[in-house]
Amino acid sequence: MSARGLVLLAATVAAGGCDYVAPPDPLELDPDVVSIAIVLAAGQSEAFLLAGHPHRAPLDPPPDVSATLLGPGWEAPFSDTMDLEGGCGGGPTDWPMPMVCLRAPLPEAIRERTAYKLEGVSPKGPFTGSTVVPSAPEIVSPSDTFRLSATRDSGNWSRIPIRYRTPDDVGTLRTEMLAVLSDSAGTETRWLRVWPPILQVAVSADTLHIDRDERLQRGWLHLLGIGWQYTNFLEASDRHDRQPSFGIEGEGVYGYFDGSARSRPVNVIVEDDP
Amino acid sequence: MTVGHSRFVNDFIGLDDINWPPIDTILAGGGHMSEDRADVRVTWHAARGTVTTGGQVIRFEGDHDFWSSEVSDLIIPFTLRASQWRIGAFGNVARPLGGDWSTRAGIRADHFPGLATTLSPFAELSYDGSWWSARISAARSHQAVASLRNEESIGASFLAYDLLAPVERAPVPRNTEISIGWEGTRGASRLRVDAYARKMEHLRLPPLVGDPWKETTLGEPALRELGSGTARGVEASWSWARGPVSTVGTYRWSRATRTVGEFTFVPRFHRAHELELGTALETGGSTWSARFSLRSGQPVTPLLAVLPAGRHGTGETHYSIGDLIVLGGGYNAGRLPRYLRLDLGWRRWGDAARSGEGFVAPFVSVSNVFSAPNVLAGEVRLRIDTYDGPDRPVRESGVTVERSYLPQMPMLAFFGLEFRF
Repeated sequence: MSARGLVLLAATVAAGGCDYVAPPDPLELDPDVVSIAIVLAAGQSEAFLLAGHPHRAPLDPPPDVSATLLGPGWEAPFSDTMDLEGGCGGGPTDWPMPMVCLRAPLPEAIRERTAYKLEGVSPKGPFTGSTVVPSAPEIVSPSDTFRLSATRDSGNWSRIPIRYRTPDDVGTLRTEMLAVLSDSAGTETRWLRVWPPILQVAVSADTLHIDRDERLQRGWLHLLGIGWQYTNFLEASDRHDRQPSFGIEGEGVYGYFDGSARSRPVNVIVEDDP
Repeated sequence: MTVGHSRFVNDFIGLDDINWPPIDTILAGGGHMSEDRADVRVTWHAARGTVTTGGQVIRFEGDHDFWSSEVSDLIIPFTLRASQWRIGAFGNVARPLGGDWSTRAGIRADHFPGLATTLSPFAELSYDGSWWSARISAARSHQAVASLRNEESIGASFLAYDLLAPVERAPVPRNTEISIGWEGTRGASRLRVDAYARKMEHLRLPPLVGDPWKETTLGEPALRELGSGTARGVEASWSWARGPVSTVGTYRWSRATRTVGEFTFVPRFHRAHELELGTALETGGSTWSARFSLRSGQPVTPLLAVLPAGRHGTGETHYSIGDLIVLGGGYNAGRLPRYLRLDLGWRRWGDAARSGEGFVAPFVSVSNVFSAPNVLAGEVRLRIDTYDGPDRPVRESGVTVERSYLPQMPMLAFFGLEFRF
C-alpha cells in the first residue's frame, strides 16, 4: 500500500467513523421549562400553587400560568396572585428563579384520602395533575401531653422520645412544633426547629431534639405526612431508571402535585424542676 | 516449564477538598495483589500438525484495606483478604489444511476449589497469503477474579489502576468472544483491522445509584450483584515509515453495555470513537514527535430540568432554600463534549550527546497543547454565597444554580534530562 493510499484510508476511516458533529450539550437546559409545586393541606380551605421558570434568571418575568383545582364535585380556579413572602403553602419561594404564587379559595376544606385533579396551561402548553391526599400520621406516644424539664441539655436541645404510626400512603414524615414563647417583653407564637426534621416512615420510634428557646412555655408537637408523589420527586435525582409519577403531566412542565395531613398534636409543657 | 511470581502494592490517601491547604485525611487505603504461577507445557510436532498440552497452577491473593471518613462517598470502608487457587489443564492442536489455510482448536479445563470446574474451548481458522493474512476465531474463558472498581463513579476516572479480588462464590465470571481479523504489509506500510463481539457473564457489578458523583469508587465484589456485559467493535491500526519519518495510528469504534438487575445501560467509560495518530521525525540528531487524540465524549445522563422542592413543613419553611432536584433523561444517554488532545515533544539524540556506552539526552514535551478541557463529568450544584434566611429573599441574594464540567489536565510542559553511564 502506498503512502498516499494509507493516508487516504486513514482519512476515510476518521471521517466516516467519527461523528464529529458536536453532540448536544448534555448540560444545556430549556429556558421555557415551567416548574410547579403544589401540596394540598388537609383541613385547609385554600390551595397554593407555586409556578416558576427554574432555568431563567431570578429577575426575569415569571411564567404565565393558569390552573384550576378539581375536587369532589367542584372546581376552584387559582385566581389570586399572592405575595411570595407568605410562603405559598411551603413551596420553594426562596429559590433563585422568577416565580409566581397562585391561590385558590376552595368551597370546602381539603379532605384526607380524597382524590383531586389539576388542569392548567403554561407557556409550554397544557398540563394536568392528579393526587390523593394521604391519611394523617399518628403520634402513639406521648399520647397527649409531654412535660419538658426547664433544664436544657447541653447544646440547647431538649429531647422528646416519640413513637408513631405512618399510614401506607404517606411517603415523607416531617416533624413540627408550634411554640409559645414568653418573657417580660411579651408573648409570641413561633415554629421551633425539631431534629430530625424528617422521620423514617419504615420505623416507628425516634427521639426528637427541640431547638430550645429559653422563653419556651408550652407548645404543640405534631407530624406532617406528605404523599408519595412528593416523596418520589425528592428522590428523583438518584433514580437511573424510569421515574415514578410526581402527579404532574405535561410537555415542559415538571414538579409535583400531592397532599399532606397533620397528626393530632401533642401538648408540650415546660415545667420547673422540683 | 515456567514459574513466576508477581506482586502489585498500592497505597493512597485522600485529602479534603474543602480547605486549602487541606487539613483532614478523608480517605486512606492500600494493600496488595499477588499471583504465584507454575505451568508445564509440552509441544509435539507431528507431520499432520502440532499438539500442545500442559497444566497450570495459579494462586491469586488480594489483600485490601480501605478507610474513609463520613464526609467521603468515594469508599465504604472495608477490609478484604482472600485467595483463590486455579488448577488447569489445556491442550490444543494446530493443523495446516492445505494451501495457505490452517486451523487451531483446543480446550482448557479449570478447577477453582470451592467454586466450580469450567471448560473453555476455542477454535481458529486462518489464512496466510503472500502479503496479507486473515483469521476468524471463537473462544470462551473464565477467571475467578473481580474488580473492586465501580466504573460508574467519578472517582474511577482518577484511579489509574485496577484492583482485583478473588471471587468467593460461584458462578465464575466468563467471557465468550468471536473475532475476525485482517492484516496486510506492503513495503513500509502495515494495516491491521479486527472486529469482535463479546459477551461477559456473571460479572460482579455494583447496584446503580444513578449519579456518578454519589457512586462509591471501590467496594467489595462479594456484596455486589451478578451482572453482565456486551461489547462489539472494530479496531484498525496502521503504521508507515520512510527515511526519517514514521507514523502510527489507531482507530476504534465500539459499543458496550452493562446490565445490572433488569437495567441495561452504556457504561460511563465507553467512548464510541477513538482516533490516535502519532508521528515522529528524526533530523539533525533530534527527534520531533507529535501525538494527536480525538475521542467521542463519555456517556452522561442529559439534563431535563433542574428544579426546587419546597419543604412543605411549617417548621422550616422560612429557613431553607429548598432541595435541589435534578431530573435527567435516559441514564448515560447523552455524551460529554469530545476529547481532543495534541502532545508535542523534542528529544536530542545527536552524537554530541552520546558518550561511549552512555548518553545524555535532554527532552522537552508539551501535553495537551491547546489546553482542551476534555471533561470527565457534568455537575449541577446550588451555590450559596450569601443567604440571610427569611429577612432577605434568596432570589435577591447570592444563591445560584451552577452547571459546570469537570475538566482534565490543562496544558503541561515537561523538561527533562535522561542519561546513562
